Amino acid sequence: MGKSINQLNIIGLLFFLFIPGCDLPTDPGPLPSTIINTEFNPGHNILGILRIDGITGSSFIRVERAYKVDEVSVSLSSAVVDSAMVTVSWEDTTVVFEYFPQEGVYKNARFIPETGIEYFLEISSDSLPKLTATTSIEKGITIEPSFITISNNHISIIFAGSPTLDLYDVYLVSETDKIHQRIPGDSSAVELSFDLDDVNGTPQTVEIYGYESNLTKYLQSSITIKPQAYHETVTTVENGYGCFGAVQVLKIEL
Amino acid sequence: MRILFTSLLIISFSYAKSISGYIADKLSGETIIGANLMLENTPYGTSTDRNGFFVITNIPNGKYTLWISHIAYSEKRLSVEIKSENIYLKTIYLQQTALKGQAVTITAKRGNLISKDTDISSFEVDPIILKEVPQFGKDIFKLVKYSPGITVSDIMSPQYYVRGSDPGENLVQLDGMTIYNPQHMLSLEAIFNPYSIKNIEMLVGGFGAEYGGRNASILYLTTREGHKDKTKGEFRPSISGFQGAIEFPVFSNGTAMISGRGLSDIVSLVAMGINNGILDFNSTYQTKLGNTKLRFSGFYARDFIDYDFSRFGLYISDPDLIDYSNGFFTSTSNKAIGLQSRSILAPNLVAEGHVYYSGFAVTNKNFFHFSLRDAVNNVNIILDYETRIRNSVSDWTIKGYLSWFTILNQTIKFGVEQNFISFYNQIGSQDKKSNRASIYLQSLFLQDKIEAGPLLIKLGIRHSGLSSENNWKWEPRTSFALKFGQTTLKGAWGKYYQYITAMNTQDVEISQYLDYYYPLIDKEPLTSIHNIVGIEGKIFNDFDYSVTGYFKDLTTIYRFDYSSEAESAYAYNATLEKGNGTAKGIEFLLRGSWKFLSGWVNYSWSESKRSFPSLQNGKMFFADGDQTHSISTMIMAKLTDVITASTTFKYSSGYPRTWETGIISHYSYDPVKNSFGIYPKQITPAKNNVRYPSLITWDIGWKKKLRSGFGYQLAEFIGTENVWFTMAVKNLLFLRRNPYMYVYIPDYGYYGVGISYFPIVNVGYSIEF
Repeated sequence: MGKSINQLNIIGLLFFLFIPGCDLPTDPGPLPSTIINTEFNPGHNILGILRIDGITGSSFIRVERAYKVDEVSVSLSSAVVDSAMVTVSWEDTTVVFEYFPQEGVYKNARFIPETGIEYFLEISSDSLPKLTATTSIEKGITIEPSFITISNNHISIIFAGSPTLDLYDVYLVSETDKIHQRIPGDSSAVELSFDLDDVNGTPQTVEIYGYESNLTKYLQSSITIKPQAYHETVTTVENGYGCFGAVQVLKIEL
Repeated sequence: MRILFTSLLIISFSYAKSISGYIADKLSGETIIGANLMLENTPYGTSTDRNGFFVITNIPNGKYTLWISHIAYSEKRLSVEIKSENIYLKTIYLQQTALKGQAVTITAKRGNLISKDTDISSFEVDPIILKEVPQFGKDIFKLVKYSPGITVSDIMSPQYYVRGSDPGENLVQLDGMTIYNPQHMLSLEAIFNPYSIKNIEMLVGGFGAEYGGRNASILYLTTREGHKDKTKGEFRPSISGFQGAIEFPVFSNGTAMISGRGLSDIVSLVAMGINNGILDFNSTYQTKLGNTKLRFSGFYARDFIDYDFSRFGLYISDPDLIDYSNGFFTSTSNKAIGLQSRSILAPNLVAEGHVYYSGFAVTNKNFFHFSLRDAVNNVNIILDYETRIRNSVSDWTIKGYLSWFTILNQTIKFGVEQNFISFYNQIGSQDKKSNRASIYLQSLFLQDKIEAGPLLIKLGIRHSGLSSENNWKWEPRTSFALKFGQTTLKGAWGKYYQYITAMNTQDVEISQYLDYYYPLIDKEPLTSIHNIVGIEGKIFNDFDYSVTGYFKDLTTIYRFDYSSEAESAYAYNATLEKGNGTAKGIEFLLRGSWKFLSGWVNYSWSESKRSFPSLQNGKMFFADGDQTHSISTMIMAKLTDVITASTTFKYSSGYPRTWETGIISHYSYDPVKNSFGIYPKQITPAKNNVRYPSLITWDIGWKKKLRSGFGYQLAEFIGTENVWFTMAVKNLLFLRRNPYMYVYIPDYGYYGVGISYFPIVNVGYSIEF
């Protein structure tokens, strides 16, 4: 009698243990249920940089595609779109950007962007929506060499900001090292200083990079590696993902 | 108006006679909360408050027998005579029940939720539950999470949601001192040693005007005062550290209590070289000067953990791997020190004062750097993720209350509170900008509690605001309780403002362990309106039930705009987006005791939603803490006076999460090299578009007094026979996974990652002396 009661107890306990479910460690486990139906929207995913540095061919456009989660087994290299038609237009001119496999980007060896011009981007490829975007830098930054001063082991820099530049990265570069500050954009004078002890070697150049609003918004967008967490997909293009923006470059030799 | 007030004053002192005093334990001198007092054969009665103080008012002249009772103490009767004056009886001592056979039922009755007669949506818990139910791990927060109206959104986080409001709207006070981030980050448990806690009071809505600063809930912890005659304590050694407490008399009229814990995860330290530790230390000293009680309280807690997985990268032999480092460092500290005074100015007039400092600081760094060369496309795949947050808050507060127990069974309470709170917030690896802010928060309140036969009404008004802004707010609060027979109808309505919010980092941190406090300077305060109605009563002699419905209108809430200008998102001038929300629900609670069994079971249905203009075009979405159904139960079986068995069970609907639809590369840009890096980022078009599976947990516990063996002999050596063995078996339903997150595995699909895949057995040993 005692033995059968114990057996009953054990059976009862096992019953309760199994009622809620049985998931072996190798099983996927219970899956979520849908509250709001959301669908995957295919499209190009780009990083387009118009680099206003006085050098031809320095601008580039990286073109990939967005892919579904279950395509993640495919290597990232297959996300690259290498056969798209990429054009940049301004005023009455249109140039075609060709794909450079070695660099994985689209470029035009003779293209050199300038301030004060609005540029239009179009990207077309099979089976993906046509992507369009615009960018410009109306007025660039200016700096006088005399506004860079060195004293008390500090280097101070003052430059006049631009109303169309929203963010600056300023680098102090030596042969072997570089240090950096990021400053929000301001149309008034921008003032900063570096401690020379923070950089290895003798500083040789001050490099100022000013980003217009598209690139500023994209570069400052938050990222997270946490799965199943909401974060807005920051995009500055139409019918796609990513960013088409411009950066003005200013380098001053010390 | 002046004439009316003066007349009332004269009348109250002329006709409203009262009896007041303290009730305390005869052996220890500890004041007793919840002792019942009645003038026999009259309708006049009351119970002691959290200070062990009582006042019975409105008594006509005459001779009476004062009957005092408490479940754990022998009854006492005193003869009192009311003549022309109010009577202050000072301290009345009660003897603990000596009848051995009653220890079982007493513990059973004490080990339960106790609904407060006067307030809706509030209950007290005797900390004896933490001693008798080992699966709570002696953690106040674990106990709180089995209470009605409480849900969690993240099983890895110690934060809790009260009736659909966010965790940052919960206030935790230790002897009246606000404690910021009152949880150990490593163990997820409260930073308070349960030995030091005498009473746990939880108000989950509709609380009166005397409470301010938070909109959702008040968790008020009262600490022990210390033994008045001898040294007593408890010591719990373990392989991971120690826990101990000691209480003792100080001179002739003072007592003190000191408790402390120091623990470390030895396995992580030895096997993986992960430095970690938690420490908390609590002390009180109480003394009497005439009719004034003074209490000094001090508190300190510290957590630290230092992970660095970089060494494991050495085992990755991929020649294309350029760089790998991954780690996590966090250090937190809590400090609080305060002085409270409580003076009986007259038998029906009590003045209280409190000045304290409370501070919290955290340094938190997560980093993950991964760089791999894609030789095919001649590009570097870079995952570069780093968060570095330093956050601290310092709170200097001074407050004073005056309680006047007067005619018509009124308790009129007036109070003033001034908080000076300063904040420091530094975010980002490259951002060297540190941000400071400070606020002066001032509050006044007036509250009147009136008892008229079966009806009790509480009317209150609170006036609060930041002194830097000429925008003071009125916070009207009202509640009632109407008794008819064994049933009580209760209701409450109130408006609540909160001038500090907490940054919700659930979408950026793997698990949010802490509240990052943020002052709402030049912004509307968080605002919510509570509407609550409920009914309570008895089913059988020892079984109570309550049914409560609530609706909260969260008219002003905020979210941090992480989408752009991430650096400034954490600055005190960050872009905060204003939104609104609602929370509603109905809760059923059944609690009681029968012979050696006691406990409760509660079920709630709830819905909590939010809306922000920039998310989904302002459409309402389910809040992070929304859980439609929740069932929780605690049953304790005091089998003998030395053996206690217990079981706890919790079922709740899964919480909402955001399910990604696709992946894109997010680009980084190096302007110096004019090159870019890529790393995968999920596409999440809608927030909280899926609901995780339900959560189910079932734990059992066992507590037994030792009478032999090494453990008993050790206790005998110290000079005591009170030595206990505890065992908890957690996660009994280990076969059923509670997923914490999902990861996608190619050729397999989504896999739900659980917290634990096996049952967990905890054993403990404690010595009481």
